[in-house]
Amino acid sequence: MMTGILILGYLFFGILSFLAFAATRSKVLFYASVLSGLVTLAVHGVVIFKRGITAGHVPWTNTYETLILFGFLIIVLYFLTLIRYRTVGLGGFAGVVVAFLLALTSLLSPEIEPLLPSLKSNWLLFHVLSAFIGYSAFAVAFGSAALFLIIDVVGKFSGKTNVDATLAYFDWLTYRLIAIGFPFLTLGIATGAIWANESWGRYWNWDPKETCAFITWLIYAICLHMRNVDELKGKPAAWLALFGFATVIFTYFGVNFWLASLHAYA
Amino acid sequence: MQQKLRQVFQSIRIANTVLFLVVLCAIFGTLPPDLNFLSFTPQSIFRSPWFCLLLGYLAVSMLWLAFIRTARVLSRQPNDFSPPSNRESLPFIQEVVLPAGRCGRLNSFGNAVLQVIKAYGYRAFAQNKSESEYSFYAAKNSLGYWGSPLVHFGFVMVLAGGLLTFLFSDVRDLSIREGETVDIVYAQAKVKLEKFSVVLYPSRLEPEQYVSRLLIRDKEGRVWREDLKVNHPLMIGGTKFFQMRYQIEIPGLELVAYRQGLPVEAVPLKLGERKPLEQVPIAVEVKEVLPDFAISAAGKAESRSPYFRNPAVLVSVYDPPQSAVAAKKVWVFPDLVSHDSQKSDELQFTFRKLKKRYSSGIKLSRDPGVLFAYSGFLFLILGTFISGFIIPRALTGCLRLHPDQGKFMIEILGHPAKDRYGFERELKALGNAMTRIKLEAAS
Repeated sequence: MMTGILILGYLFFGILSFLAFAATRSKVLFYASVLSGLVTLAVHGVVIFKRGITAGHVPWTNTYETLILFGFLIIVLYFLTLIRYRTVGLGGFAGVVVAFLLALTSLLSPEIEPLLPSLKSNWLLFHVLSAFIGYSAFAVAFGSAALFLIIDVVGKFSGKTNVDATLAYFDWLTYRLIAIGFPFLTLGIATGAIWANESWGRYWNWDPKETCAFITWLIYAICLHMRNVDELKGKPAAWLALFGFATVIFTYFGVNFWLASLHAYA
Repeated sequence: MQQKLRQVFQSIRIANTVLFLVVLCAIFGTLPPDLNFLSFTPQSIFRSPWFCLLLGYLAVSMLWLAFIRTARVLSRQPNDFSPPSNRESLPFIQEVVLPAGRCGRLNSFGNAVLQVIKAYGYRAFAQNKSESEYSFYAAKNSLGYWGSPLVHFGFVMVLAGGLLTFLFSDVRDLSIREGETVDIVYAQAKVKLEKFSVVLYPSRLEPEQYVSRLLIRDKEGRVWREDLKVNHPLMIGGTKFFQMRYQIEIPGLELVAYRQGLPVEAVPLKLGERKPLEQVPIAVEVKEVLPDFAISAAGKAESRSPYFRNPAVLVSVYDPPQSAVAAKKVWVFPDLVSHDSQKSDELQFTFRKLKKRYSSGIKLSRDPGVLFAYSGFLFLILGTFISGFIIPRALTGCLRLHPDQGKFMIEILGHPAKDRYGFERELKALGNAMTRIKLEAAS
């Protein structure tokens, strides 16, 4: 029930954000999108908090719970970006992506399960939270890169004069968001390795989940390096940001459902 | 030659290409292990010389870069504000025109401007003071220059840790039965598994913890007990012990045959052992044990959990005893005997004295690479956070008399920065703050 309300709230917020982005001078639409997003986010926060209280442990121990957390963090990251850089268009992507993530929870059991012995560790808090903060920053970067590519295509036909400046802005914003997410992904991988050493006796097992996280880390490392090569800025960087987010999604879902992994419980 | 080598290890394009190749190798390594390409399994790529060569190139390249950048940061003087080397953007210029008011002297106003810049967290220094021009430097977040060397050095440390682990680590899996003592030579200790327990959550079927109660005797003859739990490894004789998995063995049980509600005969049996009864001309065999018997929705017998809450054994009855095929198979419980309303000679079974013994799966590890890898992680984390969040900003400025007499003109030039748009905003705020200071000074 609550998840359904959240999905509707985020879809509404996403549509308002896109409209506010299209009608750049409409302050009413801008504030309406901000208000709807904040209200939905507050409800979302309460849902996570209540689940944590009921479960008696941090509410990010399985795919169902991490989907809810992932959505929450994406919107938080979006609002932080909005406060600093006033990019309401990203809210459209954030709203739609989060609504989709929350819709996926309907395929999973919402039952609160007690923690498996291997999950009973303080590292759970840092490992999962930091990894998902990183993923969320990459999700917002995905929105920024997608906007870059859309504006690039649409701008050519519209004939507007400030398209290049807007493109440069979104190119730079994608890079900044990746630069923010990258340390958190690094922290997530490092804490995961330390936890693995405490739990499984090896800090690196080349387990599919670990390997996919490493691939994601490398792709975003390439993204960051690309800033130093002029020809690789812009479109190539935007496409790589999209590909990077695809690897995030595969690391998150693909490994859980398609590959045999030590992280099977995730 | 030396120059070319340096170019190879410093080239960002080659580094990106190698990173991309490592990505491709890693993608190949995640393919399911039953796929065999060119006679090697996907996972084996992580031990292949080609993969090691790629990592080796990255290690040398990153180490080189870390040294160069460290040297550059260390050689930077506190008041050296030469623009950073990256080519992020063109410098920003912010011009502020201020009425001179009663401030009068250029120098005193210049000092006030420096105070404003310092209020924004900059270290600011006047460079050239004259009657007609006052120039200054300002910078902040110089710690940010350490980000890149730390990241690259951290990655090299992690790779070095991985190499040490690959070459010198000793990781073994051990299975100890309850009551069994194992002499672990390289831990210089004898370890006995006194008891293994699966601790369940209160009134639930899920396990909360697996605990191996170990009795340890070291080479000095000291004896002590330790509980080994999941996520709580023990260090014994320089070797780390990790609680991993467990197994249950069923050494045997006693099958009791009943007729008309009365016991006829009890026969000790091992799993899979076929024995004839003495009182009745049949043979029995226990094929399967379910610890927590239940009937599934599909109508099949299955175990709800791995815990012995409702144990049942599948008994095959051979009549006559030599027959190859079982005459019937029945699920038998420890305390249930069915009674027909009409007395018949058909045999019923129960079982008792079900012996079960746990084996604890323990991992032993001596890994000299851990310290290197952990140090590398620390550098990586520090470096990435510094790079991502502490962005150096530097500006130079000049205060001049405006062509319109009685006014000053401040020209601020922001040096290229990663956070271009944030910096632009700060420069605008600085300009506004300078206007306010003038007004305060004038009043």
